[in-house]
Amino acid sequence: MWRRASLYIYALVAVIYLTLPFAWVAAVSFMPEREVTQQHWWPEEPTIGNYSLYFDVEGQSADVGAAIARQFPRAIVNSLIIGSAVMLLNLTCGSLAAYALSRLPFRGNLLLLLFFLGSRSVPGVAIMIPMYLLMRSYGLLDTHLSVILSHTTFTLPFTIWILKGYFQTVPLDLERAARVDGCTPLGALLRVFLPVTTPGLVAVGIFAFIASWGEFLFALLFTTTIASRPVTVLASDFAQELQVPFTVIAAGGVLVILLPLVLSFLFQRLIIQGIGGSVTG
Amino acid sequence: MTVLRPSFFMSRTRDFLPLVLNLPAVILLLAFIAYPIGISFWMSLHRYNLRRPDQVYFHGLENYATILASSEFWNALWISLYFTFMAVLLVIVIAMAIALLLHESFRGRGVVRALLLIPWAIPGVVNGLMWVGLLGDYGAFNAMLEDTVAAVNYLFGINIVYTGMASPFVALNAAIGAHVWRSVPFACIIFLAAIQAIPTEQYRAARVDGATSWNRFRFITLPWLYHAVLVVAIFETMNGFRAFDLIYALTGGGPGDATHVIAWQTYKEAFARLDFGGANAYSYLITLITMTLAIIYIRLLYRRGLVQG
Repeated sequence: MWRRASLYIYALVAVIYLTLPFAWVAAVSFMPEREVTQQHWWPEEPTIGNYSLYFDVEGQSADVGAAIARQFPRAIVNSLIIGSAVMLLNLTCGSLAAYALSRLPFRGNLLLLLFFLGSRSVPGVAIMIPMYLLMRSYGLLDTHLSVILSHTTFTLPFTIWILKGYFQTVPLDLERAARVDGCTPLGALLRVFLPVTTPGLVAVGIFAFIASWGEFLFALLFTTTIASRPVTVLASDFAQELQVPFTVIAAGGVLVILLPLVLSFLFQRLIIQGIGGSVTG
Repeated sequence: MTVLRPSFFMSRTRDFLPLVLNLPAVILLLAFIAYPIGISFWMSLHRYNLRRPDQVYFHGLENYATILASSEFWNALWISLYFTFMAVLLVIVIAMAIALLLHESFRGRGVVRALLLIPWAIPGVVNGLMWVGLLGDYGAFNAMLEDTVAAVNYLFGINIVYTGMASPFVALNAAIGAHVWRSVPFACIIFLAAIQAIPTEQYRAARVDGATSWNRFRFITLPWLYHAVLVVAIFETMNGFRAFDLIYALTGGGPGDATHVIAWQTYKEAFARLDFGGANAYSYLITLITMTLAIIYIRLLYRRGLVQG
C-alpha cells in the first residue's frame, strides 16, 4: 500500500518536472498581457489574440514585430522543406551504409565505423567558419540546400549508428532465404530487409527531422532572408525585437514546437524502442 | 613464387559492394565535416581578420599562443567545464530516476512515457526563449525562486538578496537547468532500454536471497547499466561543450561574462570580432578537448571489455 502510494507520488513529481515549463508557456500564450504581470497560472480570460498576429497574412496589423510575425507561415514551410529533405537523405545514405556495416563483412569496416563516430564528435562551432566560406563560394548562402547539407552531415553519423544496431537485431535467416531464392544482395535489401526494418527506419527518420527542425547555429549562419529562413531562426529574431510582449513570443514558441511535439507523440513508441534498443544493443 | 589464391579475387569483389553502399555517406561526411575541419586547422594558423582582408598571412601557432595567454579563454573553458560537469551529472541522475520509474508497472505509465518526449521535442533556441519567460520578472519560476530565497532568509536569519537573472550565479545555473531539462529524455530512453535488457531471473534470485531494494539496485541494476551510463556520459559531454543555441537565446553570454561558454566565445570571436584565424584556433581547441574526453570514455569502455574491436 505504502509502496503504491509512493510510486504515484514519484510519478507525479516526474510528470510535473517534464511538463511544467512548457505548460506554463502554453498557458501564457493564451493570456492577455495583463494577466502575465499578475502571475497567473491559468488564463482567466483566455484569448487567441496572441496567435492572430502570426496569421495576419494581409498585413493590416501595425503591432510591434508584426512584420516578422507575418513571415511565420513561410518560415514553417521552409522548415518543412529542409526537415523532409534531411530525413530522406538520412534514410537513403544511412540505410545503405548501415546495411553494409551490419551485414556484409569487408575489410576496413571498423575503420569506417570509427570515421562515422568520429565525425559525430566534431562540434558544429568547430566547422562553422569553413562551412560558411564553402557555402558562400558555391553561392549557396540563403538557400535551402546549404541548410539541408549541413543538417544532413551532422545527423547522418547518428543515423548510421542507430540503424546498424537495429539491422543487427534482424535475423540473418530472412535474407539467406531471399538469397537462396535468387535475390541479389541489393534485391534482398529492398524486398526483404527494408519492410522488416520499417519501424527502425521510421524512428530514425523522425529523429533526423526533429533534429533538423530544432537546429539553430547553421540555420542562423546560412540564411539571411525569408527565402530560406527556418522557423527557429525567425523565432529568435522575433524575440530580439524590443517591446514584443512575452505573451506573443510564447504563442510563437508554441507554434514552433507544435509539429515536433505532435510527431513525438505519434511515434513515441517507435522512437523509444528504436533509439534505445540500438544504442545499448 | 606467389600463388594468387582464388579467394583473393573473391574477397576483392566481395569488398566492392559494401564500399559502394557506404560511398554516399562517406562523400557527404568528407565534404562537409572532414574537409571543413582541415580548412579550419589551416586557417587557425593564419592571421585572418575580415576587417583587414589585405593582411592575411601565415603565422604558425601565434593564434593559439594568444588564446592560451588570454584570460577570456580560461574563463570560457572554466565555465564550460563547470557547465558540462554539472549537466552530465544531473542528466544521469534525473534520467536514471525517471527510467527506473518507467520500468515499474503502474496505472498511467503510458501517459508518463508519452510526456517524456516533450522536452526533447522542443528546439534548443525555443527552450532558451521559454526559460527567459520562466525566469523573467513575471515568470513562474522566478516567483518560486524569490519565495524560496525569502523562506531561507527567514529560517536562517540571513539576508541573501535575490536579483534573478542579473546574478551571474543564478544565470549560469539556470542555463544548466534548462539544458539538463531538454537533455533528460534522450538519456532516459537509453537507460530504459538498458534496464529492460536486464534478465529478470537475477532480481528473482536476489529477492530469494533477501536482498533489499537498494542492494538490488546497487549490485544488479547499476553494473548492468555501466555501458549505458558511459554512452550517455559521452553524448552529454559533447552536448555540454557545444551548448550554443540555449545560451544565445537565454543569456546572450551575460550577465557580464558569466555564461560565456566556449562555444559562445568562439561564435563571438568569429562573427562579432570577425577574427576568423583566432576563432578557428578556438574551435580547434574545443574539438581537441571533446575528443580527449571521448577517448578517455572509450578507453573506460574497452577496459570493461564492453567494446569489441
